[in-house]
Amino acid sequence: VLAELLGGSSTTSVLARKLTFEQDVALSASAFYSATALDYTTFGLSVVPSEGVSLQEAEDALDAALAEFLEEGVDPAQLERVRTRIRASEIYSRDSVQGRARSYGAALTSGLTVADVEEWTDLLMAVTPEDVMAAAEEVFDRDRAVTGWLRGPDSDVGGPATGDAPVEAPLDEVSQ
Amino acid sequence: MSRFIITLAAALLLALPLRAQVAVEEVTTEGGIDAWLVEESSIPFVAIELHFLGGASLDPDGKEGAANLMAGLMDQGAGEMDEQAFAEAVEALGAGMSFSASRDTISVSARFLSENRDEAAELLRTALIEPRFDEDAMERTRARTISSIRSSLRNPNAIASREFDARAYGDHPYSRPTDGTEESVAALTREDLLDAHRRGFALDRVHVAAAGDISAEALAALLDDLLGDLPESGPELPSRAEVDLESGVSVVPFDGPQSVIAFGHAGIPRDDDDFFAAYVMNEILGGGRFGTRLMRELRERRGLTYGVGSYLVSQQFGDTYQGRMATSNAQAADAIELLREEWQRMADEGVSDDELDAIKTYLTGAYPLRFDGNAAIARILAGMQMQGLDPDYMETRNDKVRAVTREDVRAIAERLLDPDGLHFVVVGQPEGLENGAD
Repeated sequence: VLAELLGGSSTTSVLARKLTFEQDVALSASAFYSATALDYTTFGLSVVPSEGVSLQEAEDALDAALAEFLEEGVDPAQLERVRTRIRASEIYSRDSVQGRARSYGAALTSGLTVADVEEWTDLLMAVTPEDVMAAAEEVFDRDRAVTGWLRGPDSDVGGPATGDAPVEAPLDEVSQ
Repeated sequence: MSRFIITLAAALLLALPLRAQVAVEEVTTEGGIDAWLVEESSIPFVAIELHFLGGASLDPDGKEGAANLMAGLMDQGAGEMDEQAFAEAVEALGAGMSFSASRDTISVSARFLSENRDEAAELLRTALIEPRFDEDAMERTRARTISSIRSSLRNPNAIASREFDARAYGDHPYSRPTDGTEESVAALTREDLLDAHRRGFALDRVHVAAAGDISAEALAALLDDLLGDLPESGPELPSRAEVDLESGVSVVPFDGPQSVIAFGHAGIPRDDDDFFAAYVMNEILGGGRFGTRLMRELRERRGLTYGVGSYLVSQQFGDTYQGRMATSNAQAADAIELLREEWQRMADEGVSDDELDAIKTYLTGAYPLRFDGNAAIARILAGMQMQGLDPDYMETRNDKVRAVTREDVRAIAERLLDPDGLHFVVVGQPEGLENGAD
């Protein structure tokens, strides 16, 4: 639910609002979290800077946006829309036989059960704003975060990192 | 354990089964709109596809990319709602809607939950009829589009495709990139987008399909509300493209160890009597998977490439027969020679009984797997209407594949394949290849 609130929509999510609409720092911003993993999971954030914005500036803006979110808390109207989206996603996901097989398979190989899969949407629907903020406090610890920058070989908007990226990137991207 | 298996099986059965036989109902609304419907109420939502003929081919010269940018802005503010408000309204209903432009069509894909279907359809109507094309949304989308055009100019596959189209289609709109050029997109104004909107959406151009939880009556009412305010007719459509490719090779210099090669010549219209024979022949020759002749000869026997495929590009306003491969710069000339040999062998000999039997088993067996869900079915049905197929096509298609004989394949191979007429666009630093006819 935290990932959905922060980055689930390219228009209405917290990061999109702060980085793409209120400031013109990013072409896009996203947040992602995989619930089915055998090992420790990661919570990911990514930003594609706008033209003329350096990777360092984009990363700083992302940190600032997260700090603001921790201050401001969850917008109840947005949480309600996210809940609707989660419920709708569950309905739409029943449309694909292949997709369903994959989601059961992924859950079972991660040690979950069929019952877990079937309860998943209900569990998400029960998440409260307090739960979300507690998760945010736990996840956003800069001492446990790594950041990767992807740059083009001739990038003139890079930050302090030295050396060229091994692949030519169409866009500069920051993820952490 | 057995209980677990039963639960899992039950869960899968509740999902929409893959149906080889899909019953299509033809619906005509009071307003005169024709639609194809597959009613299937096991999941409480409906998928709707609207395909408008014309697409980016209707962009005037100098305005390349107008339809693409316009489509990209259709869900970014409409009526009284700005971009944020519109996105919030869609989310609040758990609906989905997307707009995209291709060469031949502007496509609208929507999915509505049954519980609020009418409200969601009203939202789509607002987007379709009253898009705002706000300045700030336009600049953001323009920046994203230009960024994507720039990256495609550094992608050898995209370069090869653009160069091939420019050479194949003369001065027909097909010769231009669908998303435009950096210059044309930078110059587009809001007025251009309003023009593109007027050109792009008209009642005499739309093909409609729906699949899911909706009755014929409800669909008819929904469509009259949704589309009733569109103009009756659109502007003149493009003429058919004369495919006029010189035989030979054109090299586009590009740094890197590999050469990406786009090749082809004139194709065959979708409504040609021999289309099925051509389709079956191409599946054996190079249908984009392992086991084709091209993959066996160029990849497995000679190790020249990881992948090679050929495709019948049969479109609304012109047809080509194309292929793609990538190979090391040192071996580009060999790969081209071998490709020509395979083209020639098929033209001379046709196919064997074993090849024909195997491909028929594959094509007929794989066909039902396409219909995985309402969204896929609606998309396929709209595409079928665009191609002029009958509503019972899904029931007759496999019989048409089975009816193709060796003689049919031989005849179409001789007619269609032109080994000496092939043109090869080579993007890379190929050794021993120069521009020009040979």
